[in-house]
Order: sequence, then structure tokens, then C-alpha cells
Amino acid sequence: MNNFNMPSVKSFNDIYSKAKDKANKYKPKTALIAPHGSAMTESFVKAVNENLIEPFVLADEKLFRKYASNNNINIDSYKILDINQPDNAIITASQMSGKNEIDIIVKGRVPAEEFLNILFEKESKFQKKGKQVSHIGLFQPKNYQKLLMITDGAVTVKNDLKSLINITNNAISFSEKIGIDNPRIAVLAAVEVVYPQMDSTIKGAVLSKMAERNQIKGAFIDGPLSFDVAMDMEAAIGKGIKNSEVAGQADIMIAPDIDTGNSIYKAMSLYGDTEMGGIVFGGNVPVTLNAFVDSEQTRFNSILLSVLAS
Amino acid sequence: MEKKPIISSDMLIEQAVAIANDGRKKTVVVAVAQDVDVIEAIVEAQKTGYLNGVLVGDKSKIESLAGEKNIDLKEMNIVDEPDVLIAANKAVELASTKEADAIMKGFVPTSALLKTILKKEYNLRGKETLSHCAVLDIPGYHKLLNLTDGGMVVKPTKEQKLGILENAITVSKALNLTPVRIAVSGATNLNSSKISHIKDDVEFLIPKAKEMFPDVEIKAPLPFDLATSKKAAKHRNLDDAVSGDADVYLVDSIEECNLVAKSLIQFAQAVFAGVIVGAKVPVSLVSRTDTVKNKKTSLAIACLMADYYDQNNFWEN
Repeated sequence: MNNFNMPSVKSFNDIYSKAKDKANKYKPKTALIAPHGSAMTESFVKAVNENLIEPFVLADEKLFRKYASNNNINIDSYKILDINQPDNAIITASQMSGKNEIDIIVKGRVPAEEFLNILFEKESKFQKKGKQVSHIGLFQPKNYQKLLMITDGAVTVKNDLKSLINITNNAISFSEKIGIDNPRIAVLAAVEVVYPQMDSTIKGAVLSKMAERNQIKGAFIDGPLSFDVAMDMEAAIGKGIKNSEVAGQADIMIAPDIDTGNSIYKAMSLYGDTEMGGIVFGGNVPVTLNAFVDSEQTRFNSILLSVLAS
Repeated sequence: MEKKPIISSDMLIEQAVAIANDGRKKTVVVAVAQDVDVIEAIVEAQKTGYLNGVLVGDKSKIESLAGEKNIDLKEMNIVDEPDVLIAANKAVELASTKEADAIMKGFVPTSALLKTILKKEYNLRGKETLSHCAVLDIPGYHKLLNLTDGGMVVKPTKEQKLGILENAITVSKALNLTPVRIAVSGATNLNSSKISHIKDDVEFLIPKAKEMFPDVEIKAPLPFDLATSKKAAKHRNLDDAVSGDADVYLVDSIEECNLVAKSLIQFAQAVFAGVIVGAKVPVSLVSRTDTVKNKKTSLAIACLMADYYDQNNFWEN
């Protein structure tokens, strides 16, 4: 019989408390890019007002001051770097992050793909040597008892085994950062048995064996698992998945490819009965990256995640 | 009968009832019926009045399973055949001889049932590609969304993807949708993306589709939000006939379809109707985790498909 385990951090309320505690000791320097007309700016301002972050704005200074006064935002405490072009702002922020001058980057009104493309250009120096950057979505679905991470939904185009290992390791590190130790990781597929013609099932089996042999540390991993079996104990038992530390109680789901991760994230953002947030993890600093369809709460949650990951 | 577009799961069942009331009630045969969830769904559907069920399988098992759940089998037509494979063959034969209009999978592996259906002697193969359509009623979306293929083709070739598309169009037509609006998936809407299938979609699938199906609207690549949210589409200045208004979301792998559909069912309360398309009779398969509502809706869409084939002499052209 599989027992359900509840981590100590199990909701966005817990995430908020932890972020508050952390910011009380040190407020991460947080750089907002392309603030004008971006819904992200509101959440950024909220985080500043709640003493969660130390604000930096990389933008056209004149425009930003005008925007602030039009919207009655007190920006006395804001450090403003006058940069006209969003592209340059991204590169500058990234380079600053490499020199520990800022701790978090927040994307404003730039399409995500463009933003990431510039961030990953060599001159941005955003990626640490040998490290992979990945996107992690965190969800608190109404009919799930705890938080659930799904990755990678936006960054890693390749889905070879090496990439999935890196994505998994990033998710484990992020999990520790937010206070979930030894997370239970489901490597997703359409089924829970290995079929030679289904690549995702082979990768799931390999990753779980790697965890068993301690090649991937700090997590329970099981795969391949279908969505239902990963998050529904009854389905897990119904399918005869016994002695699994993961089935029915996943903390993390590894999507087989970026298309799948992206579609699930967007589907949840538009239609999910779930609170959520998202983050780009594994570079110099965490990046708050949101989709246009994300709600204000989602954007704010994403900043909380960056605070904890910083 | 009025040809109104079917845009919700309730309408699927209503339409199936309307067809039955119009004198075209469909017969659905269950292949290997000793499966309590399947028995429950077909008995419920027959009670609602949109089909006649035929249960082919181990009669004593069927009766004892039904007894445990107090399901009344008085009105059900049961063909006793204890052997699984013989039962599957008998069920398929009923479809082959047009005594049944659709097949529902019972206690038999999907692969075994499909192999039986595709046997030459039954003459039930319709198209080269068989595919599964997951038609979702997602609370908050203004119409049904057909996610495909999440059950048949693991990683479609260019040609198979075209076949999956054709089957999805057939489903949309059976739902009276005009024009059919098809979004082809991608994690980005940039044609220049490094994601490998996007090039094939843009250079092969779209031109082929426009040539073969001139009356449908199709666009690639579209991420899920730009395909199904008018607000998101507007934000990106997309004002074409597909963005934000997709009927079909054609994805690139069985995993994407299956996992996205499951996430919507589990976390967005989506109602789901699934059907296998491409054989001369629709094939309904439901899983244990599906609710009775999902199972009934799946049976309804199978009835609509069967009726569409009949009314248009679909397999005679």
C-alpha cells in the first residue's frame, strides 16, 4: 500500500511566508525589463510595497517616470538604469547578474521567445558553464492536496536524455530552494509501461533507474507514469503500481518535451482550477517569466518563487 | 433536422437523442462486455434513449458484474461468448454486417480489438491512418476542443499527421462546424523556431491541407493560449480565422495529446468524449478513470459519427 506523504511546504501561502522570512533578512535586487504597459509591472510594484524585493528598473527613464506618476506609483526607492531598447536592457541585466549586481530578473512586455533568445545569446553571459536553464511551473490545483511542479514548459527545445536529466536536476534544486526536500518526481508518458517504440517511456525508466543508483540525488523518481497515475492514488492502485514512492503523490512532473510542458502550462493558466506561478531556473539568477494569459496572482506568485530561488 | 453546431458535451448527447428520435437510433456493440464500467455506461446511454446496446461477452460474468452494482440488464441484448477473442470477432462481425453502427471496447486490449477490426475479411478499414480524437468540453472555452492524436499514432510522420488531420476534420463536420478551424501545436508561434516539427508543419502540412481541404481554416504553429484564447490572440495582433477560436488542436505526439487532455480533465474539470476515427465504424474506448458522464459523452459522439457516415454515404465515395 502506498502512503501519501505531505511536504511541509504545501501551498502558495507557505511559499509567501517563506519568501517574507527570506526577504526580512535580505531583499533580493530585482531588475524589471520593459515595464511599460506590462501587467507584470503591477505585480512588481506590489512585491516592492510588500518589502519582498529591492527594485531596479532597466528602461527609458523619462517614460518610466511618467508612467509611475500617471499610475501614482512611488518610485523613490527605485534604482533606474536609463536604457531605451529592451534588447539592451536584457543584455545589461544578464551581465549584471553574472557580477552579482542583481539577484532576480523580471520580464515585462517582451514576447517570451524573444526575451529568452536574447538572454541566451553568448554576450549575455547568462548561462553558467555546464549548466542548463529550464522553465518550471508550480501549481496548487484545487483537487490536489499539495503543490505540483511541471517542467519544462518554455526553455529546453531538445528532449534527449541528457536534457531531461538536467531538467530533473534543476527541478530538484528548485524544490530544495522552496522547501520541498526529497521531492517525488514522475517522469510523464502516455502509459506506465515501457514500449520500445515510445521514447518517453524509455527515458522515464532510465531516469528512475538513475535515481535508484544514486546517479540523480535528492529525489524519488518513478517513470514512465501517466498523468492520472502520477497524481491520483486510486488510479495508481487501479493500475497495479505498487511500491512506488511517487505514483499518486508526485511533487514534480517531468514533461516529455517542450510542446507538452508548454501546452499544459498554458492550459492550466487559461482553464485550470489552480493557483500557479512560473520561473526560469538554472542561469546566473532566477528569471520571472510570465505568459500574457497569466493572472495577476500568478505573476505575483512567480516573483515569490524567484525570491526563494535567488 | 436542424444543423446547428455542437459546442458542448450536453449538446453531444442532445444531438444523439435527436437523431434517435428522428428514427435513426444507432446500435452500439460492446466487444467483450465483462467490464462493469462499460456495462454501466451503455445501460445509461440506452436508458437516455440514444442507442441500443448489444453486449457480446461472457454472459454469466456480465450478469454478476451488473448485479454487484444493481445495474438492470432487462432491456439489454446479450450475446453469450465466454472466449475473449471469439467475442471480439463476433462483435466486429456485427459491425461488418451493419447490424451495429459503432463498436465500444470492453474487456479486451485496444491493440487486439483494433487488429480484429482491421482484418481484411471484415472490410472495415476506411482510411490509411486511424487516430483518436479527444473532444473536450473545457469550462471557460466557448466551444468544444478536439485534441488529437492521443491514442493511436505514437510519433506521426508528415503523412500520418495529414491523416490525423483528415480524421479530425471528419469529426468536426459530424459536429456541424463550418468552417472547421484547426490550430497546429507548437510551444511558440515563431516559424523560425528550432522545435523540429514546426518546419514540417509550415512547409508540408499547411500547404497540403489547404490543397486537400480548401474549406477549412488552418494555422501553424500556435501555442495553446494563442489557439484557444481570443484575448491572447488579440494581444499578439492575430486576427485570423483560427487564433483564439480553434475547434481542433493538432499536436505532434501521443504524449502531448494525452497529457494535456488529462491535465484539463483532472485540473480544469473538462468533460471528455473520445473516439477512434478512420475505420468505417466509429470505435469508442473509455478507461476506468473516466467518469460515467465522460463515457456517455464518448458513446454519444460515436453515434453522431455513425450517423454522419450514413447520411453522407461517407464510405461509398
